[in-house]
Amino acid sequence: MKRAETAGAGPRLVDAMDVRRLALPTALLVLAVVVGFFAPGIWTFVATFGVVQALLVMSAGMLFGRAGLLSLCPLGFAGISAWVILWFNVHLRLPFLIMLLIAALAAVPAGVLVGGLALRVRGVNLAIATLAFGVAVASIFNRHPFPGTLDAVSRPLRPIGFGSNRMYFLLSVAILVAVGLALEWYGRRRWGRAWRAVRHSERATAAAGLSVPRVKLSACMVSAAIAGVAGGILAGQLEGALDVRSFNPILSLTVVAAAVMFGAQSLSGAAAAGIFAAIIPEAFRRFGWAIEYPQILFGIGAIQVLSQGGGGISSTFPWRRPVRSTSPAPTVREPVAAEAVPAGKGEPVLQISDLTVRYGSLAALSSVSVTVPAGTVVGVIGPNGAGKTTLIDAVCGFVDSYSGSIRLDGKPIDRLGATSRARVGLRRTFQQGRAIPELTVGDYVNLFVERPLSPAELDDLLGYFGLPPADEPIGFIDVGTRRLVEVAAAVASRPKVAFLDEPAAGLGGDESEMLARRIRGIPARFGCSVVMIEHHVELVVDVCSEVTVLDFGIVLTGGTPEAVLADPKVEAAYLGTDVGVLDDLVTERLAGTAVGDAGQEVADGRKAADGESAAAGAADTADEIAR
Amino acid sequence: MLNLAVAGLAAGGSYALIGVSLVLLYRVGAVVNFSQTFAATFAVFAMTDLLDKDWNLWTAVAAAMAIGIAIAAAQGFIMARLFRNSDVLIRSTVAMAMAIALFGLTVRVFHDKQRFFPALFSSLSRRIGDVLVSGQVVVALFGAVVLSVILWLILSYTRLGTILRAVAGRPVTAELMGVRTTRLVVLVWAVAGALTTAAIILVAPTRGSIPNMVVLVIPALAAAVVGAMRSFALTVVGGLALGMIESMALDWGFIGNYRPSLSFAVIAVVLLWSQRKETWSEAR
Repeated sequence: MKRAETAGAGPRLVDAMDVRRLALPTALLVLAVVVGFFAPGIWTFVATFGVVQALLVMSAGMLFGRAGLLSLCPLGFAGISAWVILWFNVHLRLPFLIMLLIAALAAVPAGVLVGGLALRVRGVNLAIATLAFGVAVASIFNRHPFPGTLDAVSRPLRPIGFGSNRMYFLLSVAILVAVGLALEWYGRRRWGRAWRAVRHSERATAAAGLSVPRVKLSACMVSAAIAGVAGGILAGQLEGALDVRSFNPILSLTVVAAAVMFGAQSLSGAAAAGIFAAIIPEAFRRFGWAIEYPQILFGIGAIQVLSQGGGGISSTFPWRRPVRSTSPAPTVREPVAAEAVPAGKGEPVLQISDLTVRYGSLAALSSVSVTVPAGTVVGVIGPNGAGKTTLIDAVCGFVDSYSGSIRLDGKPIDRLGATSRARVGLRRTFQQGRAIPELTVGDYVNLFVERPLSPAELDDLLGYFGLPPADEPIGFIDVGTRRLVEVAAAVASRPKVAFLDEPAAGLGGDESEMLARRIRGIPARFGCSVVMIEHHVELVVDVCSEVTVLDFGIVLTGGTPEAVLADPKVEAAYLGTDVGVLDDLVTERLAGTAVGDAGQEVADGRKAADGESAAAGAADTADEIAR
Repeated sequence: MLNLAVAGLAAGGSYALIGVSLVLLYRVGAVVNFSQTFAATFAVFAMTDLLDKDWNLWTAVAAAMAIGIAIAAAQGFIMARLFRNSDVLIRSTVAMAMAIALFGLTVRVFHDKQRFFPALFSSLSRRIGDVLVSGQVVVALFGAVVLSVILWLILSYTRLGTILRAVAGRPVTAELMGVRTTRLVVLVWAVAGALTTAAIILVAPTRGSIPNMVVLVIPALAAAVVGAMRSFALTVVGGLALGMIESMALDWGFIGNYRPSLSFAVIAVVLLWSQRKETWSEAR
């Protein structure tokens, strides 16, 4: 294994990135110390508002920017935590940081509630519901004032030694930086990266073996906890002066607008928003103007950013820009035993029996039975609307209800949901590209496996599919190659069966020939069977040992590619009565010669008719990554 | 009890009117306009300034309507020009940003002193049996019902309505067919702005402060959600019912203390029920 040494560039690169990641937090701390010790005391009081604002913006920005959830109640979360920390301060004095932790955790149930809503209520509906939720929370504070704020003698909440505005400011910056680093850390882990997956497609998230409810709930819980920290710090800053007006639900809109304007999914954007929020009112106050200006400017700034369609101000920060990989491309590995079409070992791994799927009165599939033997590649072909993708959807658990039974390794899996089916070994790709442009190739592949692949394993996998290096952002890759990344990800976990939905869409002739060889090698290399839906008939003939033909939701015929393509029923289904082209194709294939252009034309024509799946995923700009 | 219910119709009527504006903009402008009440609040506060300058009451009301319509039209222009190809979520986020900018502006301009809001239509107040029906109730109820019927008729049965629905569904196609989409979008925003400004002028005396006024968008959203962001009739029913329940809840002890939460309860229940079968996001 020479790769292990040559991949030595990997660790050094990681080190360099870690330095880059620590530079910003360090700079923030230095800036804070300078402001804390040299600026006038009142400035540090105002600057603490900036820190609170930064945390709130981070809370809203991570939810919107990473998970794609527009939640309009960050101040509701913050208010709950402020209430709880003050209650503890009055009734049960504990060290400040412990009370802050408890207070932040107290906001988490509210995050669970919002996350629970988000399981069904999406997009703008979630925004409506969360805005109303913020109002509901505020009505509680109206009824139950913040503990201790009405007492004649106020109890100090700030910890000993941090009672002054200066010291409290420094403490709050340290907490902000710690929270930001924790978010970065979690965001790089599998479940943190999954937030981005759920933003792009919930189905694709489940297909990676990730539970969508868990991903959404965790995002909302983290968001609530971050806002909770903001609420706790604000309570310490204002102490007795805190009241319900500080948590007016309308102010949540300011926070979200700031998050959009700065594209604040992490520390840098949030800190910039906080600095902006602290400096602008001060600057305007010098001219006798007032503190409403941040609201107006955040509003206008957010509109400007949205009209540009960009990722907000922080996406223009040099260190936030995605960088192209400088690593050497993984060594291309030629598939083993690529010549022969792998024949099934006979032992069935997947048995689909009598599968019927109905949408209302329309039967998308009627009594479909397909058996997939172990260690082979099986093709499913058929004209548009034949039910091919519905078959994958049903087998992988994306159809609400079906009749019939599906057995994997002899065990029925009908009661399992999509995520569980992915975990027990059914993986799939999607017709529309679902690779996540913000992630690197390696991160994306690791989303699909329980335990991250070692650099050597990753290099091996990427080399096999002829992909770019692991640290290349997917946003820089062309659409056809992105689909190969998805294929690699689908087999990375070494599933029992991998369903490939039109893997060759968007590939040129040479590339799809190369793909054919690689798919043929998948059973030997990854120990899984492949079920492939394709319109490139050429590819199907090349790769599959067996083909099932669907039309109008029924199995028309099945067998070896040659037999199937010679079947007059198939010719009729595909081409009406004019069947000359396919005849030629079969003849050529049987004669062992290369397939002529005619077959390619058939495939291309079919492809063009089958919709714009390739074009649909074609927006590969740096913007998309930056977001 | 009955008195409370009837009194709640004034607020309910305003929820219904604002809700109808929201539905109108959602159907024709493909946006959830979170800023709906914010522009109108600015206009209503401007009215009090004019009254302080001894303007005639109805002239000041007309001026407020004009301001509310002008702000809404300007917002519509921005939407039509900059966000014609955006999706609902982006447009609604823009509306949210407009809301907070307008809020800051309103606070900036009008926070200086206590305001006095005239109660209009008090001469229409009637006592029917034991129940007092205030002028506001009469006007709000009448306005909500009549205006939503008119809007429904226009959208469903006129050529303008067809064109508007075309603009909503396929803005680019409509434009290619020679429809001046910008003009129509501005028109619809202006109409919605007029309805909402009228609604807020009616309830202003009971609301007083800027935050209390802008927050009316929440019960209005609840009404619109009851109408599934489509049906004017159900939105009016939802708004009136919510107003009555909120008012009657004053007598309900515990729940009465948390009346502002009722909107959230309505929104959460209706959305969860209507979306219960949406296991997956649309992206496949």
